[in-house]
Amino acid sequence: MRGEDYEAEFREYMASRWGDLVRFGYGLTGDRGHAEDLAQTALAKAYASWGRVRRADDLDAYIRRILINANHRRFRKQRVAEHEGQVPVEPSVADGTDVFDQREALVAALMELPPKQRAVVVLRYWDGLTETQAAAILGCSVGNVKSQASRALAKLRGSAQLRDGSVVR
Amino acid sequence: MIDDDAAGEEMFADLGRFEPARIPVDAVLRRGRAIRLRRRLVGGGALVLAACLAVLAPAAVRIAGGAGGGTDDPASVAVAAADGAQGVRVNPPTVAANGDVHFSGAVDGEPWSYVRTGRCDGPPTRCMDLVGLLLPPVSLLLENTKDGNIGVSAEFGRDTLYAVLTLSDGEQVTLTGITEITAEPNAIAGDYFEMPRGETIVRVDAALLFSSKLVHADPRPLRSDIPTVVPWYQADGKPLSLTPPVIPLGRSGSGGTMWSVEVVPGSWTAQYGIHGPGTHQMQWSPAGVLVSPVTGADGSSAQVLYGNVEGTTVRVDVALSDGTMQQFEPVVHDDRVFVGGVLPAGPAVTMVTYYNAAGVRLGYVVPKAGALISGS
Repeated sequence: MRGEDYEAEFREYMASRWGDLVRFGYGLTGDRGHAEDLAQTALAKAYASWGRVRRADDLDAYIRRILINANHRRFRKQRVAEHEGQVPVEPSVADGTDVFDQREALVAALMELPPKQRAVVVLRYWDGLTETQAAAILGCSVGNVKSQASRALAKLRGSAQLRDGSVVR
Repeated sequence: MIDDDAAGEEMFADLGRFEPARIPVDAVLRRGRAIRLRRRLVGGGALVLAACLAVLAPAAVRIAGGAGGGTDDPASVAVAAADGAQGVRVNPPTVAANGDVHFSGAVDGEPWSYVRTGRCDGPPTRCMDLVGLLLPPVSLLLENTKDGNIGVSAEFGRDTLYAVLTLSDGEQVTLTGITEITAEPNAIAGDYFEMPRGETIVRVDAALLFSSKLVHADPRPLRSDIPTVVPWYQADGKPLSLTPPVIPLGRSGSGGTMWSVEVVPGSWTAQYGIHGPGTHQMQWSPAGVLVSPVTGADGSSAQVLYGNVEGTTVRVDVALSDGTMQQFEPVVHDDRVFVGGVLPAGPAVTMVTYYNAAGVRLGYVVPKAGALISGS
Protein backbone atom coordinates (compact mmCIF):
# COMPACT_ATOMS: atom_id res chain seq x y z
CA MET A 1 0.00 0.00 0.00
CA ARG A 2 1.36 3.45 -0.89
CA GLY A 3 1.81 6.27 1.59
CA GLU A 4 -1.13 8.24 0.29
CA ASP A 5 -3.32 5.17 0.54
CA TYR A 6 -2.29 4.73 4.16
CA GLU A 7 -3.16 8.34 4.81
CA ALA A 8 -6.51 8.08 3.07
CA GLU A 9 -7.32 4.96 5.04
CA PHE A 10 -6.35 6.65 8.29
CA ARG A 11 -8.39 9.74 7.46
CA GLU A 12 -11.41 7.57 6.83
CA TYR A 13 -10.87 5.65 10.03
CA MET A 14 -10.44 8.80 12.07
CA ALA A 15 -13.53 10.41 10.60
CA SER A 16 -15.60 7.39 11.52
CA ARG A 17 -14.25 7.02 15.06
CA TRP A 18 -13.52 10.55 16.21
CA GLY A 19 -16.86 11.09 17.91
CA ASP A 20 -16.69 7.75 19.71
CA LEU A 21 -13.17 8.41 20.97
CA VAL A 22 -13.99 11.90 22.21
CA ARG A 23 -17.06 10.53 23.92
CA PHE A 24 -14.96 7.79 25.47
CA GLY A 25 -12.36 10.32 26.61
CA TYR A 26 -15.10 12.48 28.07
CA GLY A 27 -16.26 9.56 30.14
CA LEU A 28 -12.74 9.08 31.46
CA THR A 29 -11.93 12.71 32.16
CA GLY A 30 -15.20 14.57 32.50
CA ASP A 31 -13.69 17.36 30.45
CA ARG A 32 -14.36 18.02 26.80
CA GLY A 33 -10.97 19.63 26.17
CA HIS A 34 -9.06 16.80 27.79
CA ALA A 35 -11.20 14.30 25.90
CA GLU A 36 -10.31 15.85 22.55
CA ASP A 37 -6.63 16.04 23.54
CA LEU A 38 -6.65 12.36 24.45
CA ALA A 39 -8.40 11.39 21.25
CA GLN A 40 -5.85 13.37 19.25
CA THR A 41 -2.95 11.83 21.14
CA ALA A 42 -4.24 8.30 20.69
CA LEU A 43 -4.90 8.78 16.99
CA ALA A 44 -1.57 10.53 16.37
CA LYS A 45 0.28 7.64 17.97
CA ALA A 46 -1.73 5.21 15.94
CA TYR A 47 -0.98 7.13 12.74
CA ALA A 48 2.74 7.20 13.54
CA SER A 49 2.72 3.40 13.25
CA TRP A 50 -0.32 2.99 11.03
CA GLY A 51 1.27 0.34 8.85
CA ARG A 52 1.52 -1.94 11.86
CA VAL A 53 -1.44 -0.68 13.90
CA ARG A 54 -3.93 -1.12 11.07
CA ARG A 55 -3.31 -4.85 11.17
CA ALA A 56 -4.32 -5.15 14.82
CA ASP A 57 -6.93 -7.83 15.50
CA ASP A 58 -9.21 -5.30 17.11
CA LEU A 59 -8.13 -1.85 16.00
CA ASP A 60 -10.76 0.02 18.01
CA ALA A 61 -9.73 -1.77 21.18
CA TYR A 62 -6.06 -1.08 20.48
CA ILE A 63 -6.64 2.64 20.11
CA ARG A 64 -8.81 2.79 23.22
CA ARG A 65 -5.95 1.21 25.09
CA ILE A 66 -3.58 3.91 23.84
CA LEU A 67 -6.11 6.50 24.96
CA ILE A 68 -6.44 4.97 28.42
CA ASN A 69 -2.66 4.89 28.83
CA ALA A 70 -2.42 8.50 27.71
CA ASN A 71 -5.04 9.40 30.26
CA HIS A 72 -3.09 7.70 33.02
CA ARG A 73 -0.07 9.82 32.12
CA ARG A 74 -2.22 12.93 31.98
CA PHE A 75 -3.76 12.05 35.32
CA ARG A 76 -0.34 11.74 36.93
CA LYS A 77 0.80 15.05 35.45
CA GLN A 78 -2.40 16.75 36.49
CA ARG A 79 -2.01 15.63 40.07
CA VAL A 80 1.48 17.10 40.17
CA ALA A 81 0.33 20.30 38.50
CA GLU A 82 -2.58 20.74 40.85
CA HIS A 83 -0.31 20.19 43.80
CA GLU A 84 2.15 22.76 42.51
CA GLY A 85 -0.19 25.38 41.25
CA GLN A 86 -3.28 24.93 43.38
CA VAL A 87 -5.39 24.91 40.26
CA PRO A 88 -9.01 25.48 41.16
CA VAL A 89 -11.48 23.00 39.81
CA GLU A 90 -14.01 24.74 37.67
CA PRO A 91 -17.54 23.88 38.70
CA SER A 92 -19.68 22.51 35.94
CA VAL A 93 -22.67 24.58 35.05
CA ALA A 94 -25.92 22.93 34.06
CA ASP A 95 -27.93 24.39 31.24
CA GLY A 96 -31.25 23.38 32.64
CA THR A 97 -31.93 20.59 30.18
CA ASP A 98 -32.61 17.17 31.63
CA VAL A 99 -30.20 15.27 29.40
CA PHE A 100 -27.39 17.71 30.01
CA ASP A 101 -27.93 17.75 33.77
CA GLN A 102 -28.14 13.98 33.84
CA ARG A 103 -24.90 13.60 31.93
CA GLU A 104 -23.17 16.19 34.08
CA ALA A 105 -24.27 14.41 37.23
CA LEU A 106 -23.11 11.08 35.90
CA VAL A 107 -19.74 12.44 34.82
CA ALA A 108 -19.26 14.12 38.18
CA ALA A 109 -19.98 10.81 39.89
CA LEU A 110 -17.62 8.98 37.52
CA MET A 111 -14.81 11.35 38.43
CA GLU A 112 -15.11 10.18 42.03
CA LEU A 113 -14.19 6.64 41.01
CA PRO A 114 -10.60 5.37 40.94
CA PRO A 115 -9.17 5.43 37.39
CA LYS A 116 -9.37 1.67 36.86
CA GLN A 117 -12.98 1.40 37.98
CA ARG A 118 -13.87 4.45 35.92
CA ALA A 119 -12.29 2.90 32.83
CA VAL A 120 -14.20 -0.33 33.39
CA VAL A 121 -17.52 1.44 33.80
CA VAL A 122 -16.96 3.70 30.81
CA LEU A 123 -15.99 0.79 28.59
CA ARG A 124 -18.85 -1.41 29.75
CA TYR A 125 -21.79 0.95 30.07
CA TRP A 126 -20.79 4.26 28.45
CA ASP A 127 -19.20 2.57 25.42
CA GLY A 128 -21.36 -0.54 25.52
CA LEU A 129 -18.56 -3.07 25.21
CA THR A 130 -18.75 -6.62 26.50
CA GLU A 131 -16.81 -7.78 29.53
CA THR A 132 -14.46 -9.69 27.25
CA GLN A 133 -13.81 -6.62 25.12
CA ALA A 134 -13.24 -4.43 28.16
CA ALA A 135 -10.86 -7.00 29.62
CA ALA A 136 -8.88 -7.12 26.39
CA ILE A 137 -8.52 -3.34 26.31
CA LEU A 138 -7.53 -3.06 29.95
CA GLY A 139 -5.22 -6.04 29.81
CA CYS A 140 -6.92 -7.83 32.70
CA SER A 141 -9.18 -10.81 33.24
CA VAL A 142 -12.92 -10.90 32.64
CA GLY A 143 -13.37 -11.66 36.33
CA ASN A 144 -11.46 -8.53 37.21
CA VAL A 145 -13.69 -6.48 34.94
CA LYS A 146 -16.75 -7.97 36.63
CA SER A 147 -15.55 -7.22 40.12
CA GLN A 148 -14.37 -3.72 39.25
CA ALA A 149 -17.66 -2.97 37.54
CA SER A 150 -19.63 -4.27 40.48
CA ARG A 151 -17.70 -2.15 42.96
CA ALA A 152 -17.93 0.91 40.72
CA LEU A 153 -21.68 0.59 40.29
CA ALA A 154 -22.12 0.21 44.02
CA LYS A 155 -20.24 3.46 44.52
CA LEU A 156 -22.22 5.18 41.81
CA ARG A 157 -25.50 4.09 43.36
CA GLY A 158 -24.41 5.68 46.60
CA SER A 159 -23.19 8.84 44.92
CA ALA A 160 -24.86 12.04 46.08
CA GLN A 161 -24.21 13.48 42.64
CA LEU A 162 -26.40 10.86 41.00
CA ARG A 163 -29.13 10.93 43.64
CA ASP A 164 -29.40 14.70 43.24
CA GLY A 165 -29.34 14.35 39.48
CA SER A 166 -32.03 11.66 39.62
CA VAL A 167 -29.96 9.26 37.52
CA VAL A 168 -30.35 6.54 40.14
CA ARG A 169 -33.85 5.29 39.97
CA MET B 1 -29.49 -9.43 44.35
CA ILE B 2 -28.91 -6.48 42.09
CA ASP B 3 -28.24 -7.24 38.42
CA ASP B 4 -25.15 -5.14 37.69
CA ASP B 5 -25.58 -5.25 33.94
CA ALA B 6 -29.15 -4.03 34.09
CA ALA B 7 -28.31 -1.38 36.67
CA GLY B 8 -25.38 -0.11 34.64
CA GLU B 9 -27.31 0.00 31.42
CA GLU B 10 -30.12 1.90 33.09
CA MET B 11 -27.75 4.35 34.70
CA PHE B 12 -26.04 5.15 31.40
CA ALA B 13 -29.13 5.09 29.22
CA ASP B 14 -30.57 8.14 27.51
CA LEU B 15 -27.54 10.34 27.89
CA GLY B 16 -28.32 12.23 24.76
CA ARG B 17 -26.22 12.71 21.67
CA PHE B 18 -22.61 13.69 22.05
CA GLU B 19 -21.78 16.11 19.28
CA PRO B 20 -18.06 16.22 18.57
CA ALA B 21 -16.37 19.34 17.33
CA ARG B 22 -14.81 19.52 13.87
CA ILE B 23 -12.53 16.55 13.36
CA PRO B 24 -8.92 17.74 13.53
CA VAL B 25 -7.54 15.29 10.99
CA ASP B 26 -4.69 17.49 9.86
CA ALA B 27 -3.53 18.25 13.38
CA VAL B 28 -3.47 14.54 14.15
CA LEU B 29 -1.56 13.76 10.98
CA ARG B 30 1.00 16.41 11.87
CA ARG B 31 1.45 15.00 15.34
CA GLY B 32 1.67 11.49 13.98
CA ARG B 33 4.30 12.47 11.44
CA ALA B 34 6.26 14.25 14.14
CA ILE B 35 6.23 11.15 16.33
CA ARG B 36 7.31 9.00 13.41
CA LEU B 37 10.12 11.31 12.37
CA ARG B 38 11.34 11.69 15.92
CA ARG B 39 11.45 7.91 16.30
CA ARG B 40 13.26 7.51 13.01
CA LEU B 41 15.85 10.19 13.66
CA VAL B 42 16.55 9.25 17.23
CA GLY B 43 16.41 5.55 16.52
CA GLY B 44 18.89 5.92 13.68
CA GLY B 45 21.37 7.79 15.79
CA ALA B 46 20.99 10.80 13.57
CA LEU B 47 20.47 13.04 16.55
CA VAL B 48 24.15 13.05 17.33
CA LEU B 49 25.14 13.59 13.74
CA ALA B 50 22.67 16.37 13.11
CA ALA B 51 23.99 19.12 10.95
CA CYS B 52 21.98 22.09 9.80
CA LEU B 53 21.46 25.76 9.14
CA ALA B 54 20.32 28.52 11.42
CA VAL B 55 19.54 32.18 11.87
CA LEU B 56 19.84 33.46 15.36
CA ALA B 57 17.60 36.42 15.90
CA PRO B 58 17.56 37.10 19.62
CA ALA B 59 15.24 40.05 19.34
CA ALA B 60 12.55 37.90 17.82
CA VAL B 61 12.35 35.50 20.72
CA ARG B 62 9.47 36.15 23.04
CA ILE B 63 9.21 32.87 24.82
CA ALA B 64 11.35 33.84 27.76
CA GLY B 65 9.36 36.83 28.86
CA GLY B 66 11.49 37.49 31.91
CA ALA B 67 14.52 35.56 32.91
CA GLY B 68 14.01 32.26 34.60
CA GLY B 69 14.95 31.00 37.97
CA GLY B 70 12.15 32.72 39.72
CA THR B 71 9.94 29.89 40.84
CA ASP B 72 10.05 27.10 43.32
CA ASP B 73 9.16 23.94 41.56
CA PRO B 74 9.14 21.11 44.11
CA ALA B 75 9.25 18.36 41.53
CA SER B 76 12.16 19.90 39.69
CA VAL B 77 14.06 20.60 42.87
CA ALA B 78 13.64 17.05 44.03
CA VAL B 79 14.83 15.56 40.78
CA ALA B 80 17.79 17.87 40.41
CA ALA B 81 18.95 17.44 43.97
CA ALA B 82 18.95 13.73 43.49
CA ASP B 83 21.37 13.65 40.59
CA GLY B 84 23.76 16.39 41.64
CA ALA B 85 25.54 16.10 38.29
CA GLN B 86 27.84 18.72 36.86
CA GLY B 87 26.98 20.48 33.66
CA VAL B 88 23.68 21.43 32.13
CA ARG B 89 20.60 19.28 32.51
CA VAL B 90 17.31 20.10 30.85
CA ASN B 91 14.01 18.36 31.48
CA PRO B 92 11.41 18.17 28.74
CA PRO B 93 8.94 21.00 29.23
CA THR B 94 5.48 20.11 30.43
CA VAL B 95 2.10 21.76 30.18
CA ALA B 96 0.15 21.94 33.42
CA ALA B 97 -3.57 21.46 33.61
CA ASN B 98 -4.08 25.21 33.84
CA GLY B 99 -2.14 25.81 30.62
CA ASP B 100 1.10 27.02 32.18
CA VAL B 101 4.27 25.69 30.58
CA HIS B 102 6.87 24.46 33.06
CA PHE B 103 10.57 24.45 32.19
CA SER B 104 13.10 22.97 34.56
CA GLY B 105 16.62 21.64 34.78
CA ALA B 106 19.87 22.10 36.64
CA VAL B 107 23.22 23.82 36.20
CA ASP B 108 26.06 22.00 37.95
CA GLY B 109 23.53 20.26 40.14
CA GLU B 110 21.74 23.48 41.11
CA PRO B 111 18.13 23.26 40.02
CA TRP B 112 16.26 25.98 38.25
CA SER B 113 12.70 26.23 37.07
CA TYR B 114 10.71 28.66 35.05
CA VAL B 115 7.01 28.83 34.45
CA ARG B 116 5.63 30.51 31.39
CA THR B 117 2.09 31.59 32.02
CA GLY B 118 1.32 33.34 28.77
CA ARG B 119 -1.92 32.30 27.17
CA CYS B 120 -3.75 33.16 24.02
CA ASP B 121 -7.36 34.08 23.84
CA GLY B 122 -9.84 31.54 22.64
CA PRO B 123 -9.84 27.79 22.95
CA PRO B 124 -7.61 25.98 23.37
CA THR B 125 -5.85 28.24 25.81
CA ARG B 126 -2.55 26.41 26.04
CA CYS B 127 -0.80 29.05 24.07
CA MET B 128 2.58 30.39 24.97
CA ASP B 129 3.06 32.70 22.08
CA LEU B 130 1.48 33.93 18.93
CA VAL B 131 4.07 33.33 16.30
CA GLY B 132 3.46 35.11 13.06
CA LEU B 133 6.83 35.58 11.51
CA LEU B 134 8.67 33.28 9.23
CA LEU B 135 11.27 31.99 11.61
CA PRO B 136 14.56 30.24 11.16
CA PRO B 137 14.68 26.71 12.58
CA VAL B 138 15.79 28.09 15.93
CA SER B 139 15.98 31.64 17.24
CA LEU B 140 17.74 32.29 20.51
CA LEU B 141 17.54 34.91 23.21
CA LEU B 142 20.14 34.98 25.97
CA GLU B 143 19.47 36.77 29.23
CA ASN B 144 21.18 36.82 32.61
CA THR B 145 19.04 35.25 35.32
CA LYS B 146 18.89 36.41 38.89
CA ASP B 147 20.45 33.19 40.13
CA GLY B 148 23.63 33.72 38.16
CA ASN B 149 22.96 31.67 35.06
CA ILE B 150 22.26 32.56 31.46
CA GLY B 151 18.68 31.84 30.48
CA VAL B 152 18.39 30.71 26.89
CA SER B 153 15.01 30.97 25.19
CA ALA B 154 14.75 29.04 21.98
CA GLU B 155 11.89 29.72 19.63
CA PHE B 156 11.34 26.99 17.10
CA GLY B 157 10.33 27.55 13.52
CA ARG B 158 7.21 25.85 12.31
CA ASP B 159 9.09 22.85 10.95
CA THR B 160 11.41 22.31 13.89
CA LEU B 161 10.98 19.07 15.78
CA TYR B 162 13.85 19.49 18.19
CA ALA B 163 17.20 21.20 18.49
CA VAL B 164 20.62 20.19 19.76
CA LEU B 165 22.72 23.07 21.04
CA THR B 166 26.46 22.66 21.45
CA LEU B 167 27.93 24.80 24.20
CA SER B 168 31.43 26.29 24.20
CA ASP B 169 32.68 23.60 26.58
CA GLY B 170 31.54 20.92 24.15
CA GLU B 171 28.50 19.89 26.12
CA GLN B 172 25.36 19.29 24.08
CA VAL B 173 21.88 20.23 25.18
CA THR B 174 18.88 18.70 23.49
CA LEU B 175 15.73 20.78 23.43
CA THR B 176 12.62 18.78 22.68
CA GLY B 177 10.47 21.86 22.93
CA ILE B 178 6.80 22.34 23.37
CA THR B 179 5.23 22.24 19.96
CA GLU B 180 1.50 22.26 20.23
CA ILE B 181 -0.31 23.40 17.14
CA THR B 182 -3.51 24.59 18.66
CA ALA B 183 -6.07 26.64 16.80
CA GLU B 184 -3.89 28.20 14.16
CA PRO B 185 -2.39 30.73 14.13
CA ASN B 186 -1.93 30.14 17.84
CA ALA B 187 0.93 27.84 18.63
CA ILE B 188 3.44 26.92 21.21
CA ALA B 189 6.84 26.34 19.75
CA GLY B 190 9.96 26.58 21.75
CA ASP B 191 11.98 25.71 24.79
CA TYR B 192 13.99 27.26 27.59
CA PHE B 193 17.06 26.24 29.54
CA GLU B 194 19.80 27.74 31.63
CA MET B 195 23.58 27.45 31.35
CA PRO B 196 26.47 28.80 33.41
CA ARG B 197 27.75 32.33 32.96
CA GLY B 198 30.76 32.31 30.68
CA GLU B 199 29.33 29.65 28.41
CA THR B 200 28.05 30.41 24.97
CA ILE B 201 26.49 28.46 22.14
CA VAL B 202 28.76 27.49 19.31
CA ARG B 203 26.49 25.36 17.18
CA VAL B 204 22.79 24.73 16.74
CA ASP B 205 21.46 21.62 15.06
CA ALA B 206 17.78 21.20 14.29
CA ALA B 207 15.57 18.52 12.79
CA LEU B 208 12.91 19.76 10.40
CA LEU B 209 9.61 18.00 10.12
CA PHE B 210 8.16 18.62 6.69
CA SER B 211 11.34 18.25 4.73
CA SER B 212 12.84 15.58 7.03
CA LYS B 213 16.07 17.56 7.00
CA LEU B 214 18.78 18.03 9.52
CA VAL B 215 20.19 21.55 9.44
CA HIS B 216 22.75 23.47 11.43
CA ALA B 217 24.12 26.90 12.18
CA ASP B 218 27.36 28.15 13.67
CA PRO B 219 26.35 31.22 15.62
CA ARG B 220 29.74 32.43 16.84
CA PRO B 221 30.19 35.07 18.10
CA LEU B 222 26.89 35.05 19.99
CA ARG B 223 26.21 37.94 22.32
CA SER B 224 23.10 38.51 24.30
CA ASP B 225 22.92 42.21 23.53
CA ILE B 226 23.28 42.12 19.75
CA PRO B 227 20.85 40.41 17.38
CA THR B 228 22.93 38.08 15.32
CA VAL B 229 21.80 36.63 12.04
CA VAL B 230 23.76 33.70 10.75
CA PRO B 231 23.23 31.39 7.80
CA TRP B 232 21.80 27.92 8.18
CA TYR B 233 23.15 24.96 6.26
CA GLN B 234 21.78 21.63 5.22
CA ALA B 235 23.57 18.39 6.01
CA ASP B 236 25.28 18.46 2.60
CA GLY B 237 26.65 21.93 3.26
CA LYS B 238 24.28 23.76 0.97
CA PRO B 239 22.65 26.91 2.37
CA LEU B 240 19.10 26.62 3.60
CA SER B 241 16.89 29.24 2.07
CA LEU B 242 14.74 31.11 4.54
CA THR B 243 13.06 33.22 1.93
CA PRO B 244 9.36 32.56 2.17
CA PRO B 245 7.60 31.50 -1.01
CA VAL B 246 5.02 33.77 -2.56
CA ILE B 247 2.12 31.69 -3.79
CA PRO B 248 -0.41 33.20 -6.21
CA LEU B 249 -3.97 32.34 -5.20
CA GLY B 250 -6.15 34.15 -7.69
CA ARG B 251 -6.62 37.16 -9.92
CA SER B 252 -9.36 38.89 -11.86
CA GLY B 253 -9.57 41.73 -14.34
CA SER B 254 -7.05 42.84 -16.89
CA GLY B 255 -4.35 45.41 -17.42
CA GLY B 256 -4.60 48.35 -15.08
CA THR B 257 -7.76 47.04 -13.45
CA MET B 258 -6.27 43.74 -12.38
CA TRP B 259 -6.83 42.54 -8.79
CA SER B 260 -4.83 39.66 -7.39
CA VAL B 261 -4.27 37.87 -4.10
CA GLU B 262 -1.25 35.84 -3.00
CA VAL B 263 -0.11 34.19 0.19
CA VAL B 264 3.24 34.22 1.99
CA PRO B 265 3.14 31.29 4.42
CA GLY B 266 4.83 32.19 7.68
CA SER B 267 6.02 29.88 10.38
CA TRP B 268 2.58 29.57 11.88
CA THR B 269 0.36 32.16 10.31
CA ALA B 270 0.19 33.39 6.77
CA GLN B 271 0.33 36.83 5.25
CA TYR B 272 -1.84 37.62 2.27
CA GLY B 273 -0.87 40.15 -0.35
CA ILE B 274 -3.71 41.95 -2.08
CA HIS B 275 -2.78 43.97 -5.14
CA GLY B 276 -5.03 46.23 -7.21
CA PRO B 277 -4.89 49.37 -9.27
CA GLY B 278 -2.40 51.57 -7.44
CA THR B 279 -2.79 49.68 -4.18
CA HIS B 280 -0.84 46.99 -2.39
CA GLN B 281 -1.67 45.72 1.07
CA MET B 282 -0.67 42.83 3.27
CA GLN B 283 -3.22 41.19 5.56
CA TRP B 284 -2.98 38.58 8.29
CA SER B 285 -5.69 36.01 8.47
CA PRO B 286 -6.69 33.88 11.41
CA ALA B 287 -7.84 30.32 10.88
CA GLY B 288 -10.64 30.34 8.37
CA VAL B 289 -11.50 32.50 5.41
CA LEU B 290 -12.06 36.22 5.16
CA VAL B 291 -13.77 38.36 2.57
CA SER B 292 -12.56 41.96 2.45
CA PRO B 293 -13.85 44.80 0.29
CA VAL B 294 -10.99 46.61 -1.44
CA THR B 295 -10.79 49.88 -3.34
CA GLY B 296 -8.05 50.87 -5.77
CA ALA B 297 -6.41 54.22 -6.28
CA ASP B 298 -8.51 54.69 -9.41
CA GLY B 299 -11.74 54.23 -7.48
CA SER B 300 -12.38 50.71 -8.75
CA SER B 301 -13.42 48.17 -6.16
CA ALA B 302 -13.75 44.44 -5.61
CA GLN B 303 -14.00 41.88 -2.85
CA VAL B 304 -11.07 39.62 -2.04
CA LEU B 305 -11.49 36.21 -0.45
CA TYR B 306 -8.48 34.65 1.28
CA GLY B 307 -7.59 32.26 4.06
CA ASN B 308 -6.75 28.67 4.87
CA VAL B 309 -9.07 25.69 4.82
CA GLU B 310 -9.17 22.13 6.06
CA GLY B 311 -6.58 19.85 4.48
CA THR B 312 -8.81 17.74 2.27
CA THR B 313 -10.57 20.70 0.67
CA VAL B 314 -10.13 20.82 -3.10
CA ARG B 315 -12.92 23.22 -4.04
CA VAL B 316 -14.53 26.23 -2.44
CA ASP B 317 -17.84 27.51 -3.78
CA VAL B 318 -18.85 31.07 -3.00
CA ALA B 319 -22.51 31.99 -3.49
CA LEU B 320 -23.34 35.65 -4.00
CA SER B 321 -26.53 37.55 -3.31
CA ASP B 322 -27.09 38.18 -7.02
CA GLY B 323 -27.57 34.45 -7.52
CA THR B 324 -24.20 33.77 -9.08
CA MET B 325 -21.63 31.27 -7.85
CA GLN B 326 -17.85 31.43 -8.00
CA GLN B 327 -15.55 28.47 -7.52
CA PHE B 328 -12.03 28.62 -6.15
CA GLU B 329 -9.38 25.93 -6.13
CA PRO B 330 -7.20 25.81 -3.01
CA VAL B 331 -3.41 25.62 -3.17
CA VAL B 332 -1.44 23.19 -0.99
CA HIS B 333 1.83 24.25 0.65
CA ASP B 334 3.52 21.87 3.11
CA ASP B 335 0.50 20.51 4.92
CA ARG B 336 -1.49 23.72 4.73
CA VAL B 337 -4.19 24.52 2.23
CA PHE B 338 -4.80 28.11 1.16
CA VAL B 339 -7.59 29.57 -0.89
CA GLY B 340 -7.92 33.00 -2.43
CA GLY B 341 -9.70 34.82 -5.19
CA VAL B 342 -11.31 38.00 -6.37
CA LEU B 343 -15.06 38.59 -6.31
CA PRO B 344 -16.97 41.44 -7.91
CA ALA B 345 -17.86 44.42 -5.75
CA GLY B 346 -21.51 44.73 -4.86
CA PRO B 347 -23.19 41.39 -4.27
CA ALA B 348 -22.72 40.07 -0.77
CA VAL B 349 -21.35 36.61 -0.01
CA THR B 350 -24.28 34.49 1.11
CA MET B 351 -22.61 31.14 1.55
CA VAL B 352 -19.16 29.54 1.37
CA THR B 353 -19.13 25.78 0.86
CA TYR B 354 -16.13 23.44 1.06
CA TYR B 355 -15.80 20.15 -0.88
CA ASN B 356 -13.29 17.32 -0.89
CA ALA B 357 -12.00 15.41 -3.91
CA ALA B 358 -14.96 13.02 -3.84
CA GLY B 359 -17.35 15.95 -4.13
CA VAL B 360 -18.49 15.51 -0.55
CA ARG B 361 -19.45 18.74 1.16
CA LEU B 362 -17.08 19.17 4.11
CA GLY B 363 -18.84 22.17 5.55
CA TYR B 364 -20.36 25.50 4.81
CA VAL B 365 -20.62 28.92 6.36
CA VAL B 366 -23.38 31.46 6.04
CA PRO B 367 -21.69 34.72 6.95
CA LYS B 368 -23.31 37.63 8.68
CA ALA B 369 -22.87 40.96 6.98
CA GLY B 370 -19.31 42.14 7.34
CA ALA B 371 -18.37 39.22 9.57
CA LEU B 372 -15.50 36.81 9.41
CA ILE B 373 -16.23 33.73 7.37
CA SER B 374 -14.53 31.18 9.48
CA GLY B 375 -14.33 27.43 9.62
CA SER B 376 -14.30 24.93 6.82
